[in-house]
Amino acid sequence: MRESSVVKEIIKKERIQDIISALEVRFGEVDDAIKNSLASIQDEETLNYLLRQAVIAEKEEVERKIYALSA
Amino acid sequence: MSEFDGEELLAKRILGLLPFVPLMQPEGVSDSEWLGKCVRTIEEAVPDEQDRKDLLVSTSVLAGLVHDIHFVKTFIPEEIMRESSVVKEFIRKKGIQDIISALEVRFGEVDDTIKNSLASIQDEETLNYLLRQAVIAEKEEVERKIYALSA
Repeated sequence: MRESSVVKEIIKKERIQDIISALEVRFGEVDDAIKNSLASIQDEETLNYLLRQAVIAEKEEVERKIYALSA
Repeated sequence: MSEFDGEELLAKRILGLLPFVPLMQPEGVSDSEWLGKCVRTIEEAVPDEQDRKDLLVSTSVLAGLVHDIHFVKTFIPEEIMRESSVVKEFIRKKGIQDIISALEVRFGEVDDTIKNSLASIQDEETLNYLLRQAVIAEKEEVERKIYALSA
């Protein structure tokens, strides 16, 4: 069931929320542009990577990667 | 599964088989009409709310094999899917994995005792709190909170 598109979509949204939480707790409010870029990313591994970046990288660096990987 | 009589299964309301009925769409019946009928039957046939949500999420997964996910969600909203026990468990495990990822990237390998403590936490809000702590707090402080909140 974990591999079903329905469940994958829900997990994806939850992980995006975790990335946003990590950014918020480090840098404050997250721009809608960043949220929208994250929402457009479909690949699970990319989101895992961005979560780790959201935890350790500088704000501008994380944002740059989010924009680049959502393009 | 189109060789099975979906109408008959809907009429008999055999609960365990209802999630399969979207795959038994009769000829001449539109996608919307059929999936709508399947969902309405489940809503009427299952009085227990949790059982109903669990059955609906199973139905959405199987319907997703033959329909676009966005089409399925017009009949079984994502909010209902999130409330099913199966999806809640997936979300919980995702939350735990994200906390471990945050700890790993900040402090290196995470002990099994921490992983086991996290695995015992059921509450979604507690896991959300621990994720934020894993992002900003010192290692000992995060670990202390994980142990305390898993007790």
